[in-house]
Amino acid sequence: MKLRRPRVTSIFTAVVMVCLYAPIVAVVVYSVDKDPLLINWKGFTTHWYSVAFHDSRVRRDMLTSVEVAAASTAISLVIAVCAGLWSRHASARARRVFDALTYSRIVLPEVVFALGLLVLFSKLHIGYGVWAIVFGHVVFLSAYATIIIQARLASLSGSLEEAAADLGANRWRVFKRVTFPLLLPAVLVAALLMISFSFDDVIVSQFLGGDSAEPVSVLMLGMIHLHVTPEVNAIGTALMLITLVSFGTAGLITMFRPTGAGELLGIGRRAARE
Amino acid sequence: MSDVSTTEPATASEDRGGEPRGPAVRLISLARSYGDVRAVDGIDVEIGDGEFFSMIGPSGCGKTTTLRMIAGLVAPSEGWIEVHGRDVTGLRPHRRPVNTVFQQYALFPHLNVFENVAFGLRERRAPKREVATRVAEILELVDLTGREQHRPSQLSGGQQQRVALARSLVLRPEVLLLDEPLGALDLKLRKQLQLQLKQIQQEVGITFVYVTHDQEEAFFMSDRVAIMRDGRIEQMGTPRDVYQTPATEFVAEFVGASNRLPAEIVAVGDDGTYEAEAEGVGRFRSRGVPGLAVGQSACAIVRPEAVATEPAVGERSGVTATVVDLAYLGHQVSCQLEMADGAPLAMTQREQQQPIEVGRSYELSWRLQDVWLLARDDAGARAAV
Repeated sequence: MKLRRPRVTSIFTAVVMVCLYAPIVAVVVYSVDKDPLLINWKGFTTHWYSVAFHDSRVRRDMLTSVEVAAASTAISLVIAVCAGLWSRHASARARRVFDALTYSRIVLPEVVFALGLLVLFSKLHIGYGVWAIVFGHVVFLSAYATIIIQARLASLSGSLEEAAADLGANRWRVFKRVTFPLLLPAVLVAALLMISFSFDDVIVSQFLGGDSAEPVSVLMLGMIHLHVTPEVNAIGTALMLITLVSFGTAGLITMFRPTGAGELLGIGRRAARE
Repeated sequence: MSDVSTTEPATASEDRGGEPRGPAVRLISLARSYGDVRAVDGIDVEIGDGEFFSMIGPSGCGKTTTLRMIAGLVAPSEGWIEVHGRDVTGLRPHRRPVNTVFQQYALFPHLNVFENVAFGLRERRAPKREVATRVAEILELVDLTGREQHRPSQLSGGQQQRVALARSLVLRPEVLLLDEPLGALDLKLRKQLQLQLKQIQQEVGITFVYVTHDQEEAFFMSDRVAIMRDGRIEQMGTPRDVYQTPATEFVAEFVGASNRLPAEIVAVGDDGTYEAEAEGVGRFRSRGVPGLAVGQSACAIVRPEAVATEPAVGERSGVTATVVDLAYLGHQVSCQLEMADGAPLAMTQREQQQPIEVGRSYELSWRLQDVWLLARDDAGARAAV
């Protein structure tokens, strides 16, 4: 017997998808619309991109975002690799506690720990700014990175490292010549994901930026307070492209190399295993 | 102890100078516990320079743990390990003059064949030119010349196994440890590589310590074997000694299907022989394990290939048994028989010696010199299966 196509659910899904993606499409469309009031379609233009590009505040904030993303990604990777290596030799109980702490950094509302850091920095009289934002980003970025690196390490057979030691490599050399090269695809993927998460972040960036640092996501938030301009849409589209390219590259790497990010990116088991 | 040194000792102990002192490997009261389980329970072994030594036994007998302790990958709970007279018990793996061929090869997937083999040489900061010549030499030895640029994943199982072997041999270790290196290969390839491995060992003259659960493989390649059970060594000797004069029922069963006839010791001779009596066989005189006492319940070991369809006259003894099953194994016939009391008996015969029919009774016998008596230990025999 042939199963009937579930018509109701198909239609429902289609409607939901349209609703979810329409705003994104709108952002892209408005960013190339000649009409500065965004009421009607008055023809294609790249003018707004040019405006955004020549706006010194946008350029400065873009640079801030890049700095924050680069620094927080680098620091998070070091933390994640160290944590991954440690947790392989940790007792089962220590690992459970550690995993719970890692996941909690992802699950807890960002507003809560952003507020916590705000209070902490103020009590310690540490100024707000780029490094405060970096610290805040590391809190949750390192958690994502740790999960990816751990998954990859779990799929690595310890006998490769044993073999390297057997062939005369000391611990550092084993890491340098065997463990790290095998981790490299996972490290790259983790880095790409973290860069896009960092670019996207508004809450921590808003709380901890103070007067001195304003990443581009915070700038956008400020700009739409007045009214939505085509320029904001252009910036939004650019941000989206950065994210898409990062995720896409991460996905491509994961399809061809085991990275431990297969589950996270929804790419099949084939890639998740060796 | 047999000691086959085919090449001068210098090849076996490069970079360390001097003559080899003492046996290649000496294990002294070596033990390893995991919680309450004693995986290795105090073993003493001496392995000669250039010897091919195998440790065999069922899984969980402690053979791999012993090997990993020699490699430095597992720390002993008790005892010492010496390599050529030098105590290495506390040394990290990378400081020991031994190398290991791992069960699943453990080849580095991100490096090609050349770089896999060169790995250890680079760790020793060997000059570039030396690396190139030594890797080329060893790849030639294992018949992999021309595969330098291949990744391990592009090689067959047998080729991967040979890369793993080359990677260790290129360092000219004093002792090479092999942990079931052929375990992942199919039977035909195994046989082929067994021969190759043995030839390579004779060519390079390095001491091999080999771990396997396959007694046939161990017997084929080794100068001496140690049969392990529950963390102890049950018997150690040449394959011939172990096969022909097993010390226990466990060994007799483990090293090959044999007939075990319950017997009782009737008298002890001066020349190391015993007079024994077995059901259906009667009285006979034969050799056995030293130390059996009159009245002790024993076991007479008769190999299936020693059984023949001949009357028990002169220096022979035997029984009458009925054939219950026949199996043709190409060059020989394997017969399952049943004795008068219902106990099973196995016989293998060359094809076409004499037609044998299922259901018929035959007078069977064996030479007295083919019988071996040992103390009865049913638990041991069961453990070996």
